[in-house]
Amino acid sequence: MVDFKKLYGIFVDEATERIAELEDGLLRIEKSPGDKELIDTIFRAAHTIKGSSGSIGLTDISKFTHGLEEILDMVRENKITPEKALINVLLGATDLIKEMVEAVASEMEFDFGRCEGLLKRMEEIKGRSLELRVKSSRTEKDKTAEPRSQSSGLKTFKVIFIPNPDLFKRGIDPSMIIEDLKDIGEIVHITANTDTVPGLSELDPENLYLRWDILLKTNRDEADIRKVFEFVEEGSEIKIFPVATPGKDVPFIGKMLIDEGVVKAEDVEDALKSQKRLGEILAEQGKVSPVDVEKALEKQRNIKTDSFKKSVSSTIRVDLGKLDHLINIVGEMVIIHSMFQQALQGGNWLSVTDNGGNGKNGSLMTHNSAQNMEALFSQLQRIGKDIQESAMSLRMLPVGEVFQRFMRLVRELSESKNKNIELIITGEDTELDKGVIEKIADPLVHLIRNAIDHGIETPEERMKKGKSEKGTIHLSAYQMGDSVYIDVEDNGRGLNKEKIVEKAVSKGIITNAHSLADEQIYNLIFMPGFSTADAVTDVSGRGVGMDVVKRNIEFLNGKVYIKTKENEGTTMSIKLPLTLAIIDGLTVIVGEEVFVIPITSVVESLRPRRDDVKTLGEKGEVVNVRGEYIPLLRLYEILGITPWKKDPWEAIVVVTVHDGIKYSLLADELLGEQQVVLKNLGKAMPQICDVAGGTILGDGKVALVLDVPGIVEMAKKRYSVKRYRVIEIMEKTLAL
Amino acid sequence: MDALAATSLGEVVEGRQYVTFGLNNEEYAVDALNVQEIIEMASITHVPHLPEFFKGVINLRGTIIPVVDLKLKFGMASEGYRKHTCVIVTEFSGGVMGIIVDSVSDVMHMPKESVSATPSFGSQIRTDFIQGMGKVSDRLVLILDINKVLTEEEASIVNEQLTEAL
Repeated sequence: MVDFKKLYGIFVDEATERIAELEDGLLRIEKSPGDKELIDTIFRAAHTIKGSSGSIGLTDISKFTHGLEEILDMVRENKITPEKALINVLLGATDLIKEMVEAVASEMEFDFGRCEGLLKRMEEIKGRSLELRVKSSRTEKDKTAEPRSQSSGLKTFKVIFIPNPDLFKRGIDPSMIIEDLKDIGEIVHITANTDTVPGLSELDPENLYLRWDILLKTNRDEADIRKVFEFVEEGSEIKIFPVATPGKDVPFIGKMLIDEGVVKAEDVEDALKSQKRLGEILAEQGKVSPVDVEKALEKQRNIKTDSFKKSVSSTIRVDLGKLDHLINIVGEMVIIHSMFQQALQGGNWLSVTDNGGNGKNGSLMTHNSAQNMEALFSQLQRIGKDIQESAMSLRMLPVGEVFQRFMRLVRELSESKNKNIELIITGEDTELDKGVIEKIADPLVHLIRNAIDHGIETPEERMKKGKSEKGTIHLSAYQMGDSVYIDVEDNGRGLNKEKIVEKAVSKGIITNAHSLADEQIYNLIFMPGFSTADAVTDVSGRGVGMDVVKRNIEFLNGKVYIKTKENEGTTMSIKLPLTLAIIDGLTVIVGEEVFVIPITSVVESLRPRRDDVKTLGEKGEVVNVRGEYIPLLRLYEILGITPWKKDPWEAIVVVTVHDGIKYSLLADELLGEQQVVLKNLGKAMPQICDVAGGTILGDGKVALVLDVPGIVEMAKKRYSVKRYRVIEIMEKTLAL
Repeated sequence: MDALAATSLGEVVEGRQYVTFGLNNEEYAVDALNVQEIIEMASITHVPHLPEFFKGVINLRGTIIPVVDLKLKFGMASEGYRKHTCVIVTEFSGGVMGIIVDSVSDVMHMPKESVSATPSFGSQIRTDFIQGMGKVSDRLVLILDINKVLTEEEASIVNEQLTEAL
């Protein structure tokens, strides 16, 4: 028995990718049902999942996917049209497969009982199309066949025939078998599966690579069909199973009613739509309290959101071109390396002769080799930089991967909110660091949900305002300078300034809005516990979204900007650094430690004059920087270090900005500006809010990279309440 | 090493390999499977807001790992680091962690029967870090459960102290 567990990781990675393809394809096919190529892509994705899960012993997944594949096959052959209801079923099935794969990834048991409902739906779809098929074939055929088909128990079997590859060598023609099948019944449908046929170079003409899927209508039983295959059974795989036919064991009352002409299909559809959800029914009957249902639903939703988070894999797919480029540069480096060696040897040899005799000649040569060395070094420097850039580019992934997932989110949410919303995606090729991509999905979900829930109005409301019925959300990514921007733009109602102010005052976030600029008012929505929606909906409105969004993005050294115009829409713009791993930093010394302050939050550094430092209310301190008073935070106090210098006019003050508010940090000495590689402090390290990570300096020692927002946070906590108030008051007065 | 030599092949399967080290005058051991490597004492960068035993972080060939001083952790006296002081890089459920010890003495095999359960010292001494006691010749070795040295519970204590410190 082979241990398949080892292969699970590979399977999960592959399947996750295919599932994404499947989902994306299904969403797109809804818009362009005739796209043959797209259907093929979807079909291939399902087929691959089926094949790979089957080949590593995950037969349950394989079986379930097979059902999906069969329906897709029907779509491919134009037997059924991919209308909304069908897409919903297929998406549901995709979700289940996703969960199955996740269960494999986390080594948990998946309850395959949950598939039952969907499997039934899928069978029903298959049955329905079969029925159509039978009907049409009936009209085509002569009418004499009809009484026969109605008279006895005519059953439909699906026969999968995977012949032994050696069949030709044994002189058996598989087409004979199919002819034999025709004798015992009617072949409704037959497909030859050519997926297993290898390329021409590997093709052995004496091997049989084909396999057949046959739909056979017969009044014989399974054993009779099997008899036909008697001669080829050895080494072949023959699967025969009955397919539910209309009129026989149809479990769906609605379909029976339609079949018997009692009701019209549309009526049944309507009735099904008006059906209440299980939770609502239970609650109405008093079996459970609505609160419990709400809780359970909440949980369900959380699981759904979780699946968004999980689906980023830990492996990375790299463009071969990038890799080739890197290898090329490494090759160059190897050459430089040997040139260096040669130059060094040359130098040594020269110094020996120099000592030995002809001094003049020797020193000249040494001078040459020093020049040579310098040239080599500058080349090495260039290559080093190239390698750095090239290696970093390996971590870059197109954001499209994340964006595609939102198609689904928008489709489902807008449906449940009865809004007509289109998601437009641009710039999906924009590349971002993998680490950033992983963490950006969550905030984006929040922003898009908000846009759907609060931003875009209902179609009626939009009509009244004279806007087009359809709302649009434009999700775009683009690069500007050394930052990447991701915009979520909606053409909805925009932010209401008065409402925000009112809410902020009632929540005690601000006392009045007299001197707040528009931008500051809009930024209030990022405060914890703030929500302007009057009703708390199941999508958003709990006021936990926006502050989390902001925190997550700040964690990535990013920023969020709001642009909004009443009744015209809102744009949430997320600005992100190109990469997380390498940052520019200002190195400072506090006590005996070196700290790095990310340059993104640094405004300037200076040494204030003695009378520029003022104390406020005994404890709070401010520094006067060209007429501007900036709160002074002493790093040594916050970090608990004994400093060399306590007086700001002898030490250095680094002015930083966070949230548009400036803070000055007091450090002992300024070392300089340099690029540092940001590393985490190890998994076993407890999270410390004012340290963003560490980096290794030229001397091999670790230096901590400070997190400016964290420092401010820590300072507020650390300083006594009285002093904290002072900082707060200062913030308010200074910000304005 | 004599313990290893004395055991027969059958017993090797039974017992385990341990890395033993000294803290002041006591001898301790950790499961060799938890030990990634042993390195010389490196220059430590202090990390703010952490309890005293959490000495900070070191650079392990380009990777940053946290280090704890076991003596401080166990409430023993710790007076500076000497020539033999070294860092045992351990892997445990929470990640990689360096532990600072006075000296590493041996890698030895201890058969199962020479390891006894931890006696209770009363409430004065915390014994939950200790997995058992091993007898090697006439010496007594305390076997540590490295996973418990910084478990979830400990991490939360760290957090508590953090908030208290504020």
